[in-house]
Amino acid sequence: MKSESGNVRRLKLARLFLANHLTYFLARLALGPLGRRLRSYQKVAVRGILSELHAAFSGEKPVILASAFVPTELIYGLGAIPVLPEVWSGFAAAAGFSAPAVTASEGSGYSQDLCSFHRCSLGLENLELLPKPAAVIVSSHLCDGGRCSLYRHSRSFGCPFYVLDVPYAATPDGVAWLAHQLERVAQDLVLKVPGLSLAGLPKALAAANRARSEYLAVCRLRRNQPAPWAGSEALNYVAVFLSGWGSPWLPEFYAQLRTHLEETIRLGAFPVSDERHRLLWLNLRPYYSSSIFRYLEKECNTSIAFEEYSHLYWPPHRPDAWAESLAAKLLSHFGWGPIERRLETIWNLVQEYGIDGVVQFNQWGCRQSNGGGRFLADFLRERGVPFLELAGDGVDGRSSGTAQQLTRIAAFVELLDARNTPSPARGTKAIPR
Amino acid sequence: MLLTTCSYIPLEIPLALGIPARRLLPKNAGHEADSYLPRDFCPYARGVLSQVWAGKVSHALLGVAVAGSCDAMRRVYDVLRHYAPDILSFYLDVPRTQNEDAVSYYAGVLRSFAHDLAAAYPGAPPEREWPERLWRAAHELDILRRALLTAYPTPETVQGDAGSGNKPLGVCASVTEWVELYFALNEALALPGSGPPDWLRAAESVRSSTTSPAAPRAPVVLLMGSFLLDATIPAALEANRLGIAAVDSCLGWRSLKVTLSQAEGDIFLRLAAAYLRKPPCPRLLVRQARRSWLEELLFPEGGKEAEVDGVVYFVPKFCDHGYYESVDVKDWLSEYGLPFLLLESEYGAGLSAQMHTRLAAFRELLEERQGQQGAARAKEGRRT
Repeated sequence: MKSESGNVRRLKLARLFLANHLTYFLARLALGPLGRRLRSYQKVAVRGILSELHAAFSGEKPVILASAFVPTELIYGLGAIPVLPEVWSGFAAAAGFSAPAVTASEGSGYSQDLCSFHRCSLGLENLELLPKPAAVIVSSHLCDGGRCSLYRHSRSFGCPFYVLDVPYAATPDGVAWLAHQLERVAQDLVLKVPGLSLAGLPKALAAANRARSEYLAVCRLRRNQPAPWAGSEALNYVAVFLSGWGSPWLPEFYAQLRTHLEETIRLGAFPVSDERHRLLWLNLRPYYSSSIFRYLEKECNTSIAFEEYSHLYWPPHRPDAWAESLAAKLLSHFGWGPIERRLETIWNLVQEYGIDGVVQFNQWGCRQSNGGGRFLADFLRERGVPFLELAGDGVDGRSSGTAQQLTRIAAFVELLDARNTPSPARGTKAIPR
Repeated sequence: MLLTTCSYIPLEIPLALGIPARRLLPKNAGHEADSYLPRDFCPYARGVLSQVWAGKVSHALLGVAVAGSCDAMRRVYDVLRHYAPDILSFYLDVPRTQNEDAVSYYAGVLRSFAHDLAAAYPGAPPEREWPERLWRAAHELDILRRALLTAYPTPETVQGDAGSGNKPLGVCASVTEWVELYFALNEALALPGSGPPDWLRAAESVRSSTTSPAAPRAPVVLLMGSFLLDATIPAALEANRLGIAAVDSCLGWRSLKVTLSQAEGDIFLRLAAAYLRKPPCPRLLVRQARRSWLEELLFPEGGKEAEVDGVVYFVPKFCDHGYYESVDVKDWLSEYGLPFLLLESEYGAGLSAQMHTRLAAFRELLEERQGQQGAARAKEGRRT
């Protein structure tokens, strides 16, 4: 356990580093020699994130806070930096700041029964670890906690709060209404926030399309058996997948990742070389240090071959019709609408990635994802695919129950071992090399 | 029979189509939903499923209209479709905003809902008759809403005037009784082939005589929250000698303040506007409108002094909207210097000893403040 005074010191240091120009200058310099230890795609991501952090904390560009499923193409296109507080909660957990942040939000009156990703982000604000936003945008779909917590951020920072009211179904009326809302939000932001303009939107959508092409190639490579990318690392990059669309560096990131995976396959240098089982991981992961992934990959020779939240679910954008394109993206999310959409998506992923078993990480308080547990269990059982619901907390390590998780994972892997027949998903589709 | 799960779903539509309908207000969470919904889902979502499955309502032509109120209710809708295919289930996409576009979108949702109902239930009247029938249903429901509002006990009735007056429903002796009347009237709505007089009579006939009148001159609070599950919370407040100036809950005042425009035009558009623009619930993302409504309840005459001594906020366990809003409300109230008590629990919450202990402590706090304020006023009077 870290001491209280140690926490305070570390928080002060973190604030100091984030706000200081010198930090970013030195970090860029360090990327040279230190960069040798990083893979090419990791360097692209670190450079991209550093430059955005610098722009955000120095005030060089306005910051817009957004809930997890708001298309960031809108924010990059307007000339702002998107900050997704839920993603920052993951960063905070990895950096060891989540416990004081969660405690701070609980001190403000937020219940422990709320999702800790949101409680943590509210605590980060209390601890002055979030950049000051010029506006907040939320989408009304998928996650009740996200939009409620972001409203709170907008109140605390005294900035405008925009709601994208997402219809349940992609009817023509619904699409038109949502596209109209996107236009109005963008126009209002341009009026209210100095430095923003609509001119960059087509360019941001074009960048997202380029990243999309590269990403689809990455996905095709990830169908390889054994898996060429460790799922534990891929789950970290869900943060980039959620918040990087529309950025100038995302196409390069996925291009470099693609090259890395091609090289891994060519050399046979797989993260789990003696791969016994392939898992599909649903929802997020614990972002603090947790032994469950090492146990899965090293002790059980089991790969996380793909993740639900790495699934690219929207059609290519039409840069000349940005509002309609972004409306289509919002409405395409497989978790929105009837549960069949999510089931169908998961079944496609099971088949495409040759999955032997599915694990849903039941983040405490995540009602939108956990509510699908019973459907998934029945749906996958009918198709002969084992399913595990793994209760835990992605941000607050104090509520992790790691020992219990390891026991459940061990039992699940035993179950997979005991199945003498390979999963019906194995080998159902040709794996492109 | 059609059961609805949200106060934003106009009962006018099924009633106009000749379908008996009422709001689904379970009396407990039951256990029937346990294997279908995670344990961190709110008691109302669980109660809805349990009530439907427990055989408490016949499944013959039973329909359940579910609004997309929250993540949990979306899943309830999915569970009904998947695991109870003999029940007709309908989904209403209620917007989270109140502007013209949202109203227009919701009008389309309501129109589709009417068509779906007409297709599912035999004997629905032809579409040309719908505007007239909807208008009549709206008028009838308006009578009930007004009757319920006028039956709310005022400070005068608490001091011994209960049941008197020329009002469609006798004025209640206590807020607990008023909540029970609310339940009774809701149940009466589903009586087939009847109208407002029968509904009101049916509600009156089950009026509870077990509740005692609230004590006069007690500290007065505003009881608010996302959803007041049952009558045990007001009963616990009143048992602890706390007066309840108003009930701002899904089961309370804000569901009764539906005003249908008299203007000509599309009836679905008018219904959509009336429902979407009633006093908002925490689920809508219109916090400024929510705050204005709260201020209306706290300062009914527009004065500077609040008409209540404090606020009790009840959240059903695991209700995200309630949890988040309670912190906002607490902050708003601190601007007015009003004490705030958060209660969080399940059905039957008001029966627990712990709840009574907390309410008693809150009353003592309010009484102490009243005493201090009285002394300060007296001192001020002597000076002048």
